[in-house]
Amino acid sequence: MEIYILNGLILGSIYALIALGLNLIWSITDIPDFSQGGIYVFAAYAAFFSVSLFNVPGIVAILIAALTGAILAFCFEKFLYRRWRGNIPIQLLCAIALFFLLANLAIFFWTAKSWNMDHYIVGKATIMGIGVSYQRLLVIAMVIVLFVAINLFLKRTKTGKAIRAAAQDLEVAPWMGIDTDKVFSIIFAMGGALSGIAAALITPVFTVYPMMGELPLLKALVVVILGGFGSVGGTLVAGLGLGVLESLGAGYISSDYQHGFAFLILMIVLAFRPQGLFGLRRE
Amino acid sequence: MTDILEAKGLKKYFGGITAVDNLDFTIREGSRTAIIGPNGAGKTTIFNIITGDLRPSAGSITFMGERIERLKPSTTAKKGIARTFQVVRVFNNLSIYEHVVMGAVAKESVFSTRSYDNEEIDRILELTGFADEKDKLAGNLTGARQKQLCLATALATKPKMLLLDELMAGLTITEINRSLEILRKINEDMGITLAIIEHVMRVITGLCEKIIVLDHGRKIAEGKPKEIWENEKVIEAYLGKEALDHVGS
Amino acid sequence: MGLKNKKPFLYNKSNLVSVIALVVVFVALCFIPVVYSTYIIYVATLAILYAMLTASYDLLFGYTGQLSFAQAAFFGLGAYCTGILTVNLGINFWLSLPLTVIFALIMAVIIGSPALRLRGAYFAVTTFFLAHFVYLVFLNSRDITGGPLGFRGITRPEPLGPINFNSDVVYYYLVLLAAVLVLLLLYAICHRSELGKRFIAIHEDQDLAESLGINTAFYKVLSFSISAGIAGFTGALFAHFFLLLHPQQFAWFQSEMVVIMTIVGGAGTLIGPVIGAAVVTFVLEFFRYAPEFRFVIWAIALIVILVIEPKGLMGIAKRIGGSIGKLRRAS
Ligand SMILES: Nc1ncnc2c1ncn2[C@@H]1O[C@H](COP(=O)(O)OP(=O)(O)OP(=O)(O)O)[C@@H](O)[C@H]1O
Ligand SMILES: [Mg+2]
Repeated sequence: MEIYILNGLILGSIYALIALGLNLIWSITDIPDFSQGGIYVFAAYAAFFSVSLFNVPGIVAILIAALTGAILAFCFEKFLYRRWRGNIPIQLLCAIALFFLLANLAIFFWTAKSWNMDHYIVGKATIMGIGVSYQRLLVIAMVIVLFVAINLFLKRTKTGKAIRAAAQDLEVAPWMGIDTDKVFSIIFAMGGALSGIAAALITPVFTVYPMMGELPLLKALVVVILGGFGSVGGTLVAGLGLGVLESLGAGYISSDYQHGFAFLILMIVLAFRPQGLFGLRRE
Repeated sequence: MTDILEAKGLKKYFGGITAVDNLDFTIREGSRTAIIGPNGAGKTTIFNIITGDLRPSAGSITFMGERIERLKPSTTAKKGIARTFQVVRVFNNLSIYEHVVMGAVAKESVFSTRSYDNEEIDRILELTGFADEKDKLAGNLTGARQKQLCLATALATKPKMLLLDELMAGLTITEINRSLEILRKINEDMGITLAIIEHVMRVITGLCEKIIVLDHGRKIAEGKPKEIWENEKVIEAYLGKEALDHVGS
Repeated sequence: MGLKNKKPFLYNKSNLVSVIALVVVFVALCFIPVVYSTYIIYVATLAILYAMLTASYDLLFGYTGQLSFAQAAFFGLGAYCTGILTVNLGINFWLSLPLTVIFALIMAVIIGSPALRLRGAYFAVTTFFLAHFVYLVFLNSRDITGGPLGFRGITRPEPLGPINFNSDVVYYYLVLLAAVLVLLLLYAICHRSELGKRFIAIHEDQDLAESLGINTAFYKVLSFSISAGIAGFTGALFAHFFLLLHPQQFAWFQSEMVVIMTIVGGAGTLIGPVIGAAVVTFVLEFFRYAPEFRFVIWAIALIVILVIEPKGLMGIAKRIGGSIGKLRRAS
């Protein structure tokens, strides 16, 4: 039981982290940015190669992954999505094409093989009688720190406030002296960095392979819808909740359908609360 | 004459904002009623509640003796409520003729064998001045003409009551005069009840027999145009800021 | 509708040109088996099946304006349904075919009714999950679908009198005939009926359509169901052509491919997506020996097309036609 919950929390915190970036992007720019699934893959490879080829310390690997993610997302927005601002179907298609492109480029460059990566921190702790590697604890700790940091950034800093103002009303934002292009760039870079960090954190626990982005992306999208648009806290709760439910479901019901639970939960929730669990859908 | 529409205790919250606050009002059958108020007073929200685009947070709406506040827009349309939107909305890739026909048959199931009155369509096209360009695509019209098309389409649904949300905004004097004439005909010849949101004072005073004034979602006055312009509350809440500008322009 | 205002269909010059072009293409397609090898017949059958699937999707996306990523899921539901009916239950193909369509329609209503309450991107993302869920069902219901090992034992349709479908050539003609019927049906719905106008109206402005008295929720589900029904029908034809089913054939990226084919050809034109499906199928076959590379090319091609002309090949053709017209008028 405890082991399922713990594994669920680790998985869930990764969903939550990707979902946080997706949520910021989606709630402000209206783009469900599927390309984050591909960015996640490239960031994972970046972390993997920097550790396995250059032996950099863990924190540097995480930073490299964050940077990779930020640069990719920034470029996608600047050179692609920006062309079709307001035309969501085309932006969504482009995002999916990018996701698909990155995953297949990864196969093309590095083959479909999956690789193991060393833990950043070696060792184990014992919690409630269960051995847990430091790496797994690091995932949860980092995610909590990042959530707090992003929340403070949005609430306290000038840039954060501008972002929230833009989220309220994109059309009015320019009149308040907010440069929407800049807000978009920042938001995408942030979202990319979060996906990158998530990838770098989880890769040592599992493996690196080109299709690794698919399931986390799908789950993160569910988390965004469940957590509510623009809600940082809701995203964390929904992410952890989904992770735990999935893990328990896989353990006690059927592991074949582990990845189907997210969809079932989503359908049930949408049937009763089309605006998501927490918070309102933007109209 | 009887009331065609009665709203009681109407409330609407958006998150923390109270857009409509405990509102009661009635609209007489066959009348021309104006709803005015400063920006953000809740006028459009009321229309959206009547048509079913929004659910009220509390209160009831009775249309021709039937409660309608939980119905969806297509159902209220079938009961005889038609509307135009504040921001112009047309089907860009359909022709003017197709718009009017769409309006005429929209209430019926697409599978029922229906026939529509071609003369009726021609009459509406004639009335709204589209007789000569009925094959033009709506997307190619000017904004003012698109507003006219919205009116024609709404009219084609043969409504009992027509809700017009700032139909005159952005029109030239000539266009306003033409529209006024059309609205009179709609009301007098076709017997359609009109509810009008408008910022152009001349339209309201010239056309409407009753005015309802809103401010912050509340009704602050109601009565004949003359009474309204003498009401102090109205002058304070409304004329001071908004209307004088409009009258000036 | 409004017949007194309408000229006969073929009086319109561009209609006449389209009809002639289509007849020429049809005749050419009829001669493919006479001229080409079995391999080309195989690819052409696939291309026609994908063209049907893509055209059915155009009804939902191009005309009704609902971006869905679940078309291949319904294609797959149709394929597995007829597989189970004919192999496990021993039902005749000609009975199984309509049953499969009914099954796809029922699934579409069950899924579409709640999902279509969502708008735009929310609906699109939900269909994406749906496609994934259906894929998981195919993959994990090993007892019924064979799971990752695939579903085996499907045969060609039972002979109809003297016509025996075991020959690829005969099956090719069956698929071609089905495609013509499906396209005529879709054309009648999209361009010749009040129903099609309502779909277009919902695409253009759902709130306005609703305000006129059109029950948009109903018509969206109707569009979704017709589209899914045809996808299921196509899936059944695919199953009895390919004879081996595997979940990968219906995974989310196959749905994505349907969207790509539609966009490449030009959404909302019916004929564009058909061309798009044919082009994409042949190009993909061309790269079949370098599978990683072909997906890379395919993704890049989509992005390039979006950048150059979001209206696809039909949009490009129109542009070229427009500039030729201009040149002519200028001279
Ligand atoms: N969908 C919505 N979500 C949140 N708030 C809304 C929504 N629609 C309206 N509001 C708010 O409700 C209040 C009333 O809006 P409404 O559009 O009814 O005003 P109005 O009287 O029509 O103003 P105007 O003259 O500018 O058209 C405003 O404060 C507005 O911001
Ligand atoms: Mg308004």
